[in-house]
Amino acid sequence: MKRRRYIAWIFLAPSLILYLYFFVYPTIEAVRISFYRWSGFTANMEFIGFENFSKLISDDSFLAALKNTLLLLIIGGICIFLLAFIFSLFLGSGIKGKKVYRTIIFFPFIIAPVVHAIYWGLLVYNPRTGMLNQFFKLLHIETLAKFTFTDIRHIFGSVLFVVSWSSVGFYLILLMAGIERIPPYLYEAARIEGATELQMFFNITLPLVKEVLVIAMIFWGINAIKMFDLLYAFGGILPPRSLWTNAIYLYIVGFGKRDPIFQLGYASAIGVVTLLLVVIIAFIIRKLIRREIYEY
Amino acid sequence: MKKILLWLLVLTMCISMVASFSLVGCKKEAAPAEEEAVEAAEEEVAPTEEAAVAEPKTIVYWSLWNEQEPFATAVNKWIEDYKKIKPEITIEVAFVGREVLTKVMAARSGGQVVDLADTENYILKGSLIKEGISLVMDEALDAPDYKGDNPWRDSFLPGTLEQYAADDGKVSIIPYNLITNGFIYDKKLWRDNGWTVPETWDELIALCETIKTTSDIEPITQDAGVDFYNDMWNYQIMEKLKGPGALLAAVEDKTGETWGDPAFKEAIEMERVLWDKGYIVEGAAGFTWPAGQLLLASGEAAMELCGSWLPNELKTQVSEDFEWGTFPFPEIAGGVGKITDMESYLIGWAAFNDTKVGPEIVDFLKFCTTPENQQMLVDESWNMSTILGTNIPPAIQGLGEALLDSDTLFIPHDGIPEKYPDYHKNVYLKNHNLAFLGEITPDEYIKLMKEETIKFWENQ
Repeated sequence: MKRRRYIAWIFLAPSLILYLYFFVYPTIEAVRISFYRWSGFTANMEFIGFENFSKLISDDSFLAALKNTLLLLIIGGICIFLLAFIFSLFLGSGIKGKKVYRTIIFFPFIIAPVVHAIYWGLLVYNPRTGMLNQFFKLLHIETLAKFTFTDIRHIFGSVLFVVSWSSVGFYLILLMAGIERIPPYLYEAARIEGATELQMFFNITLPLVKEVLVIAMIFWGINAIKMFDLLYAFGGILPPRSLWTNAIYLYIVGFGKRDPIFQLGYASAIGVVTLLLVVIIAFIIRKLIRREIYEY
Repeated sequence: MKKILLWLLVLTMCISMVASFSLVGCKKEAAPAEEEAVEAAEEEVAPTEEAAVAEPKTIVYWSLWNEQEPFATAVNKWIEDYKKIKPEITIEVAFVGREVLTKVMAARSGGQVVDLADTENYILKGSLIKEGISLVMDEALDAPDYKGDNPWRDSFLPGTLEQYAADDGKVSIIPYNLITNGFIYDKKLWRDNGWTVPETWDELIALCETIKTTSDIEPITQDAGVDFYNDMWNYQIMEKLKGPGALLAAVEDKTGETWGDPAFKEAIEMERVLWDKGYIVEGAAGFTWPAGQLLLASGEAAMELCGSWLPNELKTQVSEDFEWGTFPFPEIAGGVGKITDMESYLIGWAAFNDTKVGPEIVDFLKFCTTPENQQMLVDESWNMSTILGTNIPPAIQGLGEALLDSDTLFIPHDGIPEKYPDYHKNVYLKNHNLAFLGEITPDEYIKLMKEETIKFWENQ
């Protein structure tokens, strides 16, 4: 037994070394830097203790970014998983061309986020010539034809739609992998007993797919909290403040973006808080969705 | 036996991985050692040839331009020509884009050598100069220029070297690109419609009304999704109302009381007139850059307030009969600023003070700043140069002439970004954008600016 454990460690060693070097070490460094005032240009780092963290509490821009992060996580998550389950019901209903539909739904996920940002920002949501406004104009729905989807009040919702639309395919595949493992005889038995589709979904599908759901939700939680590329690219030369999340604010504070802010210590403090957020979210998800082992 | 072989294989993988990481880290350090060894060998072999062959040196230069931009074309040409004159000097240029200093910071943190960088001067001032890591150029500037005729300092337009000097007056930045700010329009479109260039704010408003009521063309286009584009209106109006320094004074007043000056509220009210009367194109609040400026190129909008870089950006988007026209921001009745007060926005080079190739950098920059080389930059980029003896690009003739004839120059955003970048981003631009787009009233804007200025200084 001891020998097996020895062999296991040897095999784990390469991945472990990579993980420690590229993930654990930078994380420890980031935590250390968060206690300093540092521009990043010189080796001079001024120790300031918890000053960066106390500044976060009164920083309106950080609090607004945190709010956006949580909105993206919660509302984005609800939209994505609701859509994913609806699509899974649709695909699992025995329709023809299931693989084609699945490919179509998955397709937006493989497109680069920057392409999404350009396509939706410039072509779809453009208030004058965008496809969406033109479509509503064609239908003579004047309110929506003149609606500005990407102004300061609405841009977050518009981008949330893009995020949901581009992500749902991935989570659908994950959920379908879990759903397809469920033995069909359970559904047959339920139909014989007179259960409706909705009853089968809540009493058979959902409980048996919990394990996959927990993993999918943790994936989404991590992706939502660290999401950067699509939001950053959406504004063109500058991400609009309405789209700032923790990740974007961290970048702006740490590396400027037309303003030579260069506060790496403060940016690291934002990173540490974001990391804690991920840990808390993962913990909550695991606690809320208690996994039970079903044998069938 | 099989198990032993397997263990050996895994151990070899681990060792080779660890070794490869450490070798990558040593690569840059090993290279100079190798070079030194080669040089030492050469010295031993042919000591008599030492005087005739200059020592090879490398300048690592990271630039804010992207490879496909005309500025990069000019830089590459300079490097190519310089190589013919000084074959022993190798210039390793990397066109890394607008966030050059972010990348330079990361590279230098990792031990990579970067000797020279160029970007907007206010960013250089707010970073390299502020940190005290820039190479001071005063001695080089007092020495002869590339041709040896006059002091290098005398090559530059008056004031451009001193504009971003350090607080002690020392000059580290060598500016080469001069940008200003004003209105850009199509002369032919205006001529066909009988519109004339306004010289006062009231004339501008009257012109917008005429355009709106007598044509299908939108008076003003605006990429309103970009906060610092929106701010061009505010700091231009404030310069005309109160002169340079008024905004900065309000930022630096820790009591916040200076924001109570009626001029700040008046500026917002003037900006709101443009929206409320429909002079700014409908839907501009939702434009993602460059949607706004494309309307100018397509002839759907009459003018745009922007930097003088705009013609260069749009030159491939306009029709063949488009005639570039530019005019300065108009005077405001009752204000202290004149129409001749112009913005001076500079892009230039700064070297790091730990560079081992300081003299070589100076020589290269002197070469790049000859009038001939700068004229090439002007011709390629349609932007002005800081070097005397270069022409104004025809596309920005109006603004260029106004800039060169100006009595008073002011710096972009009244100098707030380089002194107080955090305030600029998270207080000033944030609140101005809300006011500009009508999300808050002018009174709410003033209240917010007062409160958040006090809070900003309390947190310092």
